[in-house]
Amino acid sequence: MAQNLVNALSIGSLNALIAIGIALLFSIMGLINFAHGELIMIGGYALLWFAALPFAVTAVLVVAVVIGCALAMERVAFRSVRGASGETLLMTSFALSLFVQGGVLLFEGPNPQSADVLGSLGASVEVAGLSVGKLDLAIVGVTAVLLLGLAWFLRATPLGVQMRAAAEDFRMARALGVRANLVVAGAFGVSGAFAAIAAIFLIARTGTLTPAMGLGPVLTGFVAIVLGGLGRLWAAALGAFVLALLSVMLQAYLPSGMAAYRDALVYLGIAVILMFRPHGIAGRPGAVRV
Amino acid sequence: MTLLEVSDLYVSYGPIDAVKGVSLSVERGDVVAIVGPNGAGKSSILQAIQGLVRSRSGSVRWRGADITDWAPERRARAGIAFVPESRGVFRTLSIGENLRLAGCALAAGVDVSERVQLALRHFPALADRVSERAAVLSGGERQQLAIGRALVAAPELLILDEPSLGLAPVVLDELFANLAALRDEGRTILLVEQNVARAVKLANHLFSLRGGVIERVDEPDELLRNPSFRAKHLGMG
Repeated sequence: MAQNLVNALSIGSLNALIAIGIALLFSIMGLINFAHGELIMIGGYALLWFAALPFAVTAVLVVAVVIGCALAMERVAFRSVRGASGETLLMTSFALSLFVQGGVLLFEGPNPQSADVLGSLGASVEVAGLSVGKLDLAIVGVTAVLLLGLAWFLRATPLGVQMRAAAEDFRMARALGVRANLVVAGAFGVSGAFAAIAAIFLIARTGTLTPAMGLGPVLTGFVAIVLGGLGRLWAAALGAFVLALLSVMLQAYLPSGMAAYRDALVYLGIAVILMFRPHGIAGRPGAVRV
Repeated sequence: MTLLEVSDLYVSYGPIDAVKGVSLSVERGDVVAIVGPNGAGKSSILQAIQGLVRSRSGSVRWRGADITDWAPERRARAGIAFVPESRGVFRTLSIGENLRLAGCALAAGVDVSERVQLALRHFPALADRVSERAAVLSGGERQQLAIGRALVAAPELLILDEPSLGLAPVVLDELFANLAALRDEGRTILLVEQNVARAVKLANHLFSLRGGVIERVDEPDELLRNPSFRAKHLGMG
């Protein structure tokens, strides 16, 4: 049981990194950015491009590339539709997602590529009688630091406070002099940084990448946000961990003959939760805050 | 000196014209009030001036410059502060964070903390509560915070949308005493207000708005001497 909880914590941390990157933009812009998956995918390929460098340098470059791509997405695709309906934003993000996937497909080809990232963390260590993978520890630790860092950023820095204000009432924030472009670009930048870190850990776990690899994680992140409660960052993280817990527990305790139904049962569980908590576990009608 | 000049302004929501050809100007030191019933288009005028709704036609000029197409944040930085009917207080932020947020409209290098302290002199009850969440404030306190926050930006023009809305009579007395103090400091104020008696006592220029059409009415001093107005709005024979 304890071993499963550790696994759920690790998977939940990775889910949380993805979910928060998506939730931040939703809070401020009302945008569900499905092209977030492509940021993760670009992060994966950037790992390959810089693989010859020391890992610390590679990681910094991957984060920089993905943040740059996130800012470019905002400037090129989303700025012109800012303030448009949710449907328009959603369609824009789908179109952008396909466009970026197509671009990477042209240059990198459709075949899966393998990458050995953080191979030195492949072993396990004994923690309180449990066998815990070093990679899992790294994922949980880095996620905890990033979540605490984000909380500090949103509370203690002027841009963070402006983002919180914009998440609550963007029009009023602008009427007070808050620069819309700065706040939105800041949100895309943070979202990009989370996507980059998620990409590193995702590739470290799976070892493979394809141009379509972003779809699964972005769907997981979206489901986590809905499960936790739309519009609240900590609720997105909570949803990510609950989703991981459901998945890991079903994986562990389902009879082997029913293993194929694991994902279906996960979604059934989510549907049941949403029947009783239609705005998500921690959601409230109309609640939008970061 | 003319600070604000609105010319032939139209604001539409779909097929409905909410504001029809409104023109008005505000001189430095003026307190201009627009009165009128619900749905007359008063708030739409203010929101168009602040850039929160787009005008269909017409122009808004600020210190001679055409700002019709400026973003709201640029107008705020140019010296226009807006207090909406809803107060626009950020409930999830602390009182202090709400106040400091208005520092976004200040030029680089201006000490925001000093501006916050100056604004709090008008509303000392908030001074000891800056770390509290704004969500805990009463309606009157939110109005104080909203006006105090607007003052942090050192605005040349303070725009108030229905400041009396939803406030108890005793709170209203305090609010309008504060507004009168701001007027006496020489601040320029443009407000829309349904409480005609309060508006007349505060303003030195008055406009009436009905069905989106504006008309200038008697100067407030004259109205206060008019027996029928006194009987209807002030309850005085």
